[in-house]
Amino acid sequence: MTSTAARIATAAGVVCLALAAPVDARADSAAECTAGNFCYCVDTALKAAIDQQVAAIRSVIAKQRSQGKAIGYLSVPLSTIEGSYLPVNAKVAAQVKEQIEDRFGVRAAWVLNPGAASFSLPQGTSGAAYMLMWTRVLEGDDGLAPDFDFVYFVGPADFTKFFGLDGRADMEKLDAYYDGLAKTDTGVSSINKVKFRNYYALRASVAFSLGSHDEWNIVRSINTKRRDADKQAGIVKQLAVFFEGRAVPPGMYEAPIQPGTAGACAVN
Amino acid sequence: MRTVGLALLLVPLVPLGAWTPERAHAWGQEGHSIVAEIAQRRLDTGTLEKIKALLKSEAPDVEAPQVALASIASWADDYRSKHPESSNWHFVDIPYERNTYDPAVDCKRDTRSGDCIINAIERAKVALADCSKPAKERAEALKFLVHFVGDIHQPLHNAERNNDHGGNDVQVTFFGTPMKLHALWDSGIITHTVFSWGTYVERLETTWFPGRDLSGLDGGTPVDWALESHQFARELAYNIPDGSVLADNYYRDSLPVVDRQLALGGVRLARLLKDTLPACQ
Repeated sequence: MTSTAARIATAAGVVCLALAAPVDARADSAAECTAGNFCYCVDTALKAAIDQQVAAIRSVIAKQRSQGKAIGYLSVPLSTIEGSYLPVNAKVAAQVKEQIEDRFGVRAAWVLNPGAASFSLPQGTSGAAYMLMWTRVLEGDDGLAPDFDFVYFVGPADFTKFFGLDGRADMEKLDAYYDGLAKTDTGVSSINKVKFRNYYALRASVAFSLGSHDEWNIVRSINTKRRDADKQAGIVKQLAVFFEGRAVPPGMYEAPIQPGTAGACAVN
Repeated sequence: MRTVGLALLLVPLVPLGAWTPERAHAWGQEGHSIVAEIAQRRLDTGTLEKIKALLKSEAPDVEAPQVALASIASWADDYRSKHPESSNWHFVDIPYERNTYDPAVDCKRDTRSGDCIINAIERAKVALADCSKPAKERAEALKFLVHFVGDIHQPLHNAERNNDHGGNDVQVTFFGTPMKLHALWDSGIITHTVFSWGTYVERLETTWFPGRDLSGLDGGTPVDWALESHQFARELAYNIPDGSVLADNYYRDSLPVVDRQLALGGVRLARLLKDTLPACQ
């Protein structure tokens, strides 16, 4: 999953997206599994809200698909954790979405950005609940991702472009960026400056995101199902996968990675 | 715009210490009209009625005045010519090298020229939303907003390099015509594309908007808009070759950004007006 709040909650235990009523902290949790058997511990009180939001997001996708567009999914680190900072990440996500749509043509492609505020769940929602929502959106009811044509995983180059780094003293530029940002955004002071610099210089990428790790495995699972569902043309029908703008090589389509949030909950 | 050329002619006539180059700080009238027209087309009837009621105070004898935001979009440039204390309200000079906004430095108030566009937009929003203020004052706030939201989307109103006054001190040739880099972005690229601003609006309506997902693009704050423009200034406007001879390559790269900025300037202005205009009695 890539959801803004999911990343935040999963990693840092802090959920920032908040539009509706707060979630009752004493709510019961239960394992909820998706079509592709990705399971998350989710507050049972949230199930209705998740169902509602999944339906709403599918409706948005359907509207874009009805215009004949290829539909993409953006996987991007969003959480405030270990130097990573949500407000910056949300801007990067929006910028990358716009760049992808411009690249392919705004009338030919549309990208679902899980960092968009309009896709939030009630305040206090856990990262696992967000992951459940985004996994269900991505997989679809049959686990074959019928709504999607490609997935774009955000890499370091996408962040480099946002910060205007040019390969000369980039870490010092990030130090200066932090100092400058602090003059208009008091929230960044909660982030250690060295960690901020090191994160954006060395790690800002899906490779260091819990949610994106899950999304990689979800995409791999979807493509396995697509290949198995059609022995003759299944390979051709796989979801296209991009990493920081370039198509990933064939072997990567079948490579699993460490789970992020999925599987942490005991399934009865 | 910043009319340095004219000012230079006057240099021998004024004491050196008193002279500072007047700065051009606006899309040309074409750009402002484009932004205003795009905004107006996206306003709901209720908001248009509020605007009409406000502007009626300026034409009390007209029985049923119609509203054309494009007609008031460049008023702030005329105001500036009589009110030099508003000169700096049209731009914010964020240094080229820095991609963050420092209000204490970039928007520092100058007693003769004012502060900067970011504060000017905030002030105008507050005035427009305040029903206790006289209609004339709120109408002026409206005219400032229509103008400044346009200006903040012009990349060179948000950046300067080597104290070049947003590219006003940079001479280029564009398809053989000498001009200032700033003027190129104010109007040169627009008028190279079409002759009339109405045609540019139709061009955007038929080629830029159709199919585009505007969610996530229509919001933001003036600081966000300024930094976004600043990024375009760094990546494109200032990316001029040795010799400063600009033609097809520069135009090809810049036009999509000019399109975007004019279109989003209109979309964001419409949203700002909808969100700001109260229902005053």
